[in-house]
Amino acid sequence: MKKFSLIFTMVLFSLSMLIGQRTISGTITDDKGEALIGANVLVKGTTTGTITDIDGKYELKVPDGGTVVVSYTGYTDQELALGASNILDVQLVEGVMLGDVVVTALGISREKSSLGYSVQEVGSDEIKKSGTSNAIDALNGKVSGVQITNSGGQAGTGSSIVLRGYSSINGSNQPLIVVDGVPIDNSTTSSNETNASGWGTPTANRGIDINPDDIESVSVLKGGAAAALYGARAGNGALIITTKSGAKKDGGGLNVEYSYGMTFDRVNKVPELTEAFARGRNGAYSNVTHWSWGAAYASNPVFPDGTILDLNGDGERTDISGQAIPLYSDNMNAFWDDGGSRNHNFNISGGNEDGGFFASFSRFDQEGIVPQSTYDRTSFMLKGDYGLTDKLTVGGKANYVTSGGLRSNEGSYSGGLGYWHHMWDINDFAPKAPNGDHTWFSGAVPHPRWITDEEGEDYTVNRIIGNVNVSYELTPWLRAAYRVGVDNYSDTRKQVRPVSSVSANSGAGDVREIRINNRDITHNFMLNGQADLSEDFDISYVVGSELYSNEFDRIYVRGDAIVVRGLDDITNTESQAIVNEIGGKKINGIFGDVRFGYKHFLYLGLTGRNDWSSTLPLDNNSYFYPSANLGFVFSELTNLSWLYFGKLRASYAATANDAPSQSLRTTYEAEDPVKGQVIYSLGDIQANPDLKPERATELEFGLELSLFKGKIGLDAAYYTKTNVDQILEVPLSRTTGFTSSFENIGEISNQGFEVNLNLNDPVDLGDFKWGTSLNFTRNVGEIVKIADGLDRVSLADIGWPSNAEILAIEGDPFGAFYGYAYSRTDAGELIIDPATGYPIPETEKTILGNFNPDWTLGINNNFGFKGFNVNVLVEHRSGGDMVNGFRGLLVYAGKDLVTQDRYYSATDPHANATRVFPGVVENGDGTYSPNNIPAQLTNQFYQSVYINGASENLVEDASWWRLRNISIGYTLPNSLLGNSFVKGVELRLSGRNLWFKTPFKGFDPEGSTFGATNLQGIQDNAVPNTKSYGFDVKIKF
Amino acid sequence: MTNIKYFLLLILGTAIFATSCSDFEEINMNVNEPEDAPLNVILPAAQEHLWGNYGSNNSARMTFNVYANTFTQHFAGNHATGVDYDQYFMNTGDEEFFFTRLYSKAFIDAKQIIDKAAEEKSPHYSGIAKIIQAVGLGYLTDIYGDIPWSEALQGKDFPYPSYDSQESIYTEIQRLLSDAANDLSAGESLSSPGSDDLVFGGDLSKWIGAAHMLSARYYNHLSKVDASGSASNALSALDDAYAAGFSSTASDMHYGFDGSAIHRNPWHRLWENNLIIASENFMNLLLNSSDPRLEAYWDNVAFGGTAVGYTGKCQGFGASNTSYSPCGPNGYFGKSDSPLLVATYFEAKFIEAEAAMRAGDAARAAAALNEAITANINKVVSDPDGLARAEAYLDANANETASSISMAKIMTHKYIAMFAQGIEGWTDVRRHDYAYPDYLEIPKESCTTPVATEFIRRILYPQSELNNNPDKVPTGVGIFDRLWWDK
Repeated sequence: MKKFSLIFTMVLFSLSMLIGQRTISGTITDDKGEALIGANVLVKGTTTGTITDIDGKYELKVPDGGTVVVSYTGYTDQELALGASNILDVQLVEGVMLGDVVVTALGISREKSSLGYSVQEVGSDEIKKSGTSNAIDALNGKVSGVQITNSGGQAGTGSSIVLRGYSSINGSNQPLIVVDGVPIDNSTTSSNETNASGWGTPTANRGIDINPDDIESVSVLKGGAAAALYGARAGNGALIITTKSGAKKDGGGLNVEYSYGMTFDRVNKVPELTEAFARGRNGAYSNVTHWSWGAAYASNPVFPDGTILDLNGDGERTDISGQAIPLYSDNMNAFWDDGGSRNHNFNISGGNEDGGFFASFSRFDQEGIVPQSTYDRTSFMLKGDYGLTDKLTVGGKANYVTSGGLRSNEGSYSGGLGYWHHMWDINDFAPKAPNGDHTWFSGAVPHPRWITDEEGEDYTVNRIIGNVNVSYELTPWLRAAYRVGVDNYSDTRKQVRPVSSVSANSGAGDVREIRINNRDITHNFMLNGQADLSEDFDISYVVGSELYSNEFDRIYVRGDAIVVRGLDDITNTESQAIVNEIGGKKINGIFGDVRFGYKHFLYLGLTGRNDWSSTLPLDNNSYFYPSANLGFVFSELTNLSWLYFGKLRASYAATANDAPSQSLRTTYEAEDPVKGQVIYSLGDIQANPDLKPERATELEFGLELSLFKGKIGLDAAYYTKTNVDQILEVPLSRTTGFTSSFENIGEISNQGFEVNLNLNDPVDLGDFKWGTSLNFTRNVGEIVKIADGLDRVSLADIGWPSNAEILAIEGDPFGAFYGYAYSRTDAGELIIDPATGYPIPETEKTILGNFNPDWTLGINNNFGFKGFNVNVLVEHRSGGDMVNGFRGLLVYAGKDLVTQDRYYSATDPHANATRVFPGVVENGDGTYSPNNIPAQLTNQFYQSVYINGASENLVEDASWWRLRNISIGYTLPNSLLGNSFVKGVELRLSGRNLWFKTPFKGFDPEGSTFGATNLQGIQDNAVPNTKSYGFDVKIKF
Repeated sequence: MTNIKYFLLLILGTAIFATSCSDFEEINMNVNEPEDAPLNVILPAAQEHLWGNYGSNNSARMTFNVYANTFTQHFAGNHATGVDYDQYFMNTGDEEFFFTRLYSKAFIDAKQIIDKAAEEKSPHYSGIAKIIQAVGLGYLTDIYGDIPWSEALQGKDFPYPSYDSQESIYTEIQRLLSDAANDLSAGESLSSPGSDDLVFGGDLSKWIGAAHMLSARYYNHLSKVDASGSASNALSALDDAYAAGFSSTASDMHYGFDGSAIHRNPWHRLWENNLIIASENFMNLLLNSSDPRLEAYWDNVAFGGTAVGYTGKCQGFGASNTSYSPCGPNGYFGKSDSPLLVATYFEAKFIEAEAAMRAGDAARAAAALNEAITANINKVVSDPDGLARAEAYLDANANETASSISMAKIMTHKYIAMFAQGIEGWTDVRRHDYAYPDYLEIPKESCTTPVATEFIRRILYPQSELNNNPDKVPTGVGIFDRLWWDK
């Protein structure tokens, strides 16, 4: 809190010291005289610039003799030399997308046309239209070269984003997120005993704290060259988020905006079940089983004599012998709640000729479709900058976010949901008896609603992100800037599993408290400027240094066995176990960037950075990485009328990455004390005191075209990158005494194409317009080498019922699935067991699939009709597999659709299914003959052979097509508002995931069990996704 | 003015950057994870990892010592993994965890103890650590045969340890046990274990006795390889054990559980989800002979309270709709704080009986068998109904003489007594080619179709070895292949 007050005071201070100075101002309009909102106004050759406000007005400090560049998407940009007047009104002509200014590394705004690498920017409007609470999800389908997955439909869950393919086997593949020049923490910290895995409770990536309403733009720096200046931390690319700011303006003035949005959410897909069979085993009712392998409902089964059971969840066991076994349909669908969210956002911005400010307040409340799950986020932000003198500008920002909610362990409720029998109504059967006991019959598997209602994890995050920055113009060609940014959060979590929770100490219960503190501080000092060397040559340059430090402290306390029932406090437990993880890291870096421009058609950029990292051995902790990029605007050399703009670009970058922290020493680790004895055991990972940095090189070629007055825009990129010396947690034979060691081995390559095609209103009938943009991504990854004598690394063993592993294996893309296949002949035919007629599972594992898609496509359509704007985003993912572990559980339970064909006995008319598996039978002499044995589809077959035995039955194609977004916006015409104090009203109806098609048999394949980790493509738990309807209104005052 | 400005800037720039790298080393360490630890915190780690809870309180992983009781046919599979084991449906993923835990936890921790104890001259610690290694090696080699040892536990100095023959592993077990007895007898030890020794609380004489008893066990395992040598070696080791005080149930080696939420006996955890339950043949054997141990072994109430009586399941049946008797908290073995039996006096007496019989000393065999049965019943029977039958049972069974004794009687009685000690029980059964008890047969699915044509003889090497040590792990291994001592 102290830090917050300090920054807050500094920002206020900077705003209050109003001193006059000379600036220019004006209005930017289109050729019809309508104000252009958000047009870019930039002092040529510098990074100084602003954007126009709602009235098209701007203010900007410009050095004498300077030139102003005005640009706006879809309009030809204009350059104007500064004359005597301080008023500079500009009318832009609709045309080409030249002169788009994008935010590049270190927050430097640059004309996109001059860049030698790919940068893609997503604006606030597009983020708003996506209607999600996590800013990362908002990029779905809008940017090529990205792969986004979320962790299901609980409120406030995390998302993983990977740019240009997985390039690190063990390390993080998540890009660096930079907000207003300050890198922020985007880690995902699990609620498990150690912070190692993401299984269970779906915790969020901390990027979720950024209020999407505050975002002005997100620049996606996909390649090494784009992100090179950020050094090691941006080894996987970077997302540069710029928040909104107040425009400077003559005479002051305020813009006030309020918006409200709400959504209604519902589960979008659940697995298909058979409801043909009642609870039981081998065709008869059983009062103790979790299985639905009982009598067919078609045979009108009744409870046998002596059945004493609680049928309604009131905690009373009664004799129900002779009653018909009830059937409640659709439990799998009915379990999920109707969810929804509400979002209030209020912002006020303004400024005078010397400075501007932006202040916002937002409150987001969400109820997830997982029962009881909630998420809320409250965000305050104040941001401003002020020109103290002609040359000295001070700015600052403080953003306080508090978020929290309740979430459930997916692993815990999935078991009960999978086994739940049709004879109980999942919502009417109360999970808790009046005396507080768990009501469901099972001593091993809890009622799923016991988990969601009684065992949820409460959490609160308090976070402050702020910066203070000063910039000083030393000479017209050199500016010095210093920025210090802080990102500090605490995350408090508490989970109580009350007495009678079957999975917690056999009903004795437990209490967990987790406290996480994370602090990042980044100092950044920079000298930059630009100069015209001659008529034809210009140059711009940056040199600077960056100091980054991180401190991380996570304490996990588990109290076992609650003593006094109902007193859910950690001190009220029999024994407590504590795990404390303390970590930290420092990186010092210096960097330089120089760019040459020749006659506005040839641009060369060179960068270099050297980092020193605390995670590497002291005597070998320095590493340097250079990059070069070239932009060739060939359209400047031609006079073709249809070619408005054409550029070829090429870049090369070397990047590097340091080691995971604390990986240089083998240590002892504390374990739970036994009988009061403190226990330390040698760690599983053999450390490596000689680690070197990981290295990567990336080569990128691109083509940008704008044809027919900008009606057609194309941006295509091809890249190839190679990561070598990967710091791998190499699995060792367990017989070495360790499970793994850190080594600099391993090589991964990724190659890909990214194509963005824009058709700017090819249909333009005056009132009606249609435009579309396509973005296509194809990334082919390959693990080139792991180590001598080792061609695979197991990343996770999923276990029963799929028994699959996720592997990195030489020659395959990252993320192969490895498991037991059916035995096949060399010709690929199934080998059938002559005794049973079943296929035979192998006893050793083989490769069964891979989670990486072959390609993805986003098609974004825009229709305009008078004040209406309709946006339709369709997305496709082609190829890529998932392990459907949850379906395995359903098969085991006798509920999956496939088990509808089953065999109890030859005389059971409802369950006598046999199947002749297409395959061959071995003749005993090495030859085969076709199989004609009818195999009985018994529970034994499904439970031991179909799942558990053969993993291959649970590896499924996870391709999909979906209508990601549809939104209908309407802007009230000004005539309707008249002269009231309301300056504008926008209304929008939207829908997300309203239509969706996939061959995958589980929940939406976007939902992944392991959250934002490298372990993608696993759906071991019930992780549903949502479809939602939304409504938004925005009012400007 | 301008010059001063530049100068100040330079200072600022340098000052910002010049925070030295001196704290780099400190920030890269976790103070809670030391590079060194004293012997008295590593010793309980090694013991707990060999015998204790397998995983945290949420994990219901079972040791192979539990599952092997389906191979001995004391237990039958009830559902899921239990049925897989019962029906010989094995794959390379089965005992991954057991294998991993021994090498990367128990063995390496014991090695740290041995190395540190040698350095600081505390042989009492190294003695116990060697016994831990010997017992662990015994568990592993008796289910896998050849296993790594001579090149094991050296981290990436030997990233791909070779597999030593089972014969050499047996030599190593004996060497470790004999070294252990010497170390434990040392007059001087800088530090000696006390309450940090979770097995004997620092009672070194008990450890010495146990070392000799274990030595006898592993000599006796070689009955098929060297019938007479194994017998005389076992008998002489037993003499050493008795001389060292291993002469009654009071000297039994247990691993105890405190019964708290986080430290419960594995059978008690198994009871909750009932993966394996009583086998019909074994239950009938107990019932037909009015065995006093019936109630000590089996509960007549299933988890959740359903009365099931004393009923066993047909071996290899698969899933069924009926509930059977579990090994639960009413008996000796399935309480939350029941001990895990590691090396007992009654086992020593059974070994003596078998070895003496093999050596041709029927009188010693008969006396030892009578003592073994009596010691076992006295140890585990406490139920009043069981106690009421004990005397009659002992009169009928623990009265063998040199003329009445037979190998069948010794091994059948040992089989009954070695209840719930899966690995050791399975070794006995295999050494006698599944001949005792005489009813043993290949499990039958649905009680009709045999699941195989042979009895299971070993399990498959773990998948992690196929993944991470592919050139060294023996290939082409099947579950019906016999180990070296089983040829």
